[in-house]
Amino acid sequence: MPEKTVTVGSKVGLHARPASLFVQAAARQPVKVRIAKAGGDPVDARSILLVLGLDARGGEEVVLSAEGVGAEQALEELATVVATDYDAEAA
Amino acid sequence: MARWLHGLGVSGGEAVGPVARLAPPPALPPVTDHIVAVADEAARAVGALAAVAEDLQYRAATVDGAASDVLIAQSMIAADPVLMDGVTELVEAGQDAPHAVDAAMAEHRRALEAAGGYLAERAADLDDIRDRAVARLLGLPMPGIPSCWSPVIWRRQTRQRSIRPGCWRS
Repeated sequence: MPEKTVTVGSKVGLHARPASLFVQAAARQPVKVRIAKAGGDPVDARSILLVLGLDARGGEEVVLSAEGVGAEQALEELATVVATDYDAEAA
Repeated sequence: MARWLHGLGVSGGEAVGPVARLAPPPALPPVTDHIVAVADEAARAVGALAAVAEDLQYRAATVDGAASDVLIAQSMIAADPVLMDGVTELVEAGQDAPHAVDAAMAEHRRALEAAGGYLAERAADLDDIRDRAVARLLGLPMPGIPSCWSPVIWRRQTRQRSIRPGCWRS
């Protein structure tokens, strides 16, 4: 299954606005994407409750995975969202 | 005379203003034993959460900045597909809609509280959503923030005490 490891760019972590933007982006994908902390259980990326529950902090690595047609592109797009520093953007 | 109120601040910073008390959360009715039409009951439960999500989305559009972000996140929680699936499973296992919503939210609340820190603070959001969805299912007045014309400090004394400074106009 295609996977992509990416470092969380926002200092706040995958919480608050970065989490909302990530989940909204995941819901737009044609394939189901899962997200896990390194070594952890993957969860549905479209669930804000499960994504928040990962408690991924800024600077930590997460692993995105997806399967099916368009998986690579979906991972690419979501990796960009994870890696973006939304704190800097808001300032 | 000074009086101290203790609780969890829902928003950061300091604020001065009159204190208003939120309506108490809706109580659950006795358990309905025999759900005849399970599919209808599940649709009712999921529909209540979807309606709450829509209402929060609408409120988010009427404010800016951090307040809007919080309401958008709350709206997404109410519409969370994993939450919806959990509620549906509970109805299929024999629970009525209000109890299924209550139980599903309680499960996620425990998970967030266990994580502590920022996530524990989000547990108060789950209470808001639970209260709104249950009130809708029971035909009770909607709890939460009513319209107000001057900033007030909201105080809610429930399962978890919280003090919410600020005012949403709707």
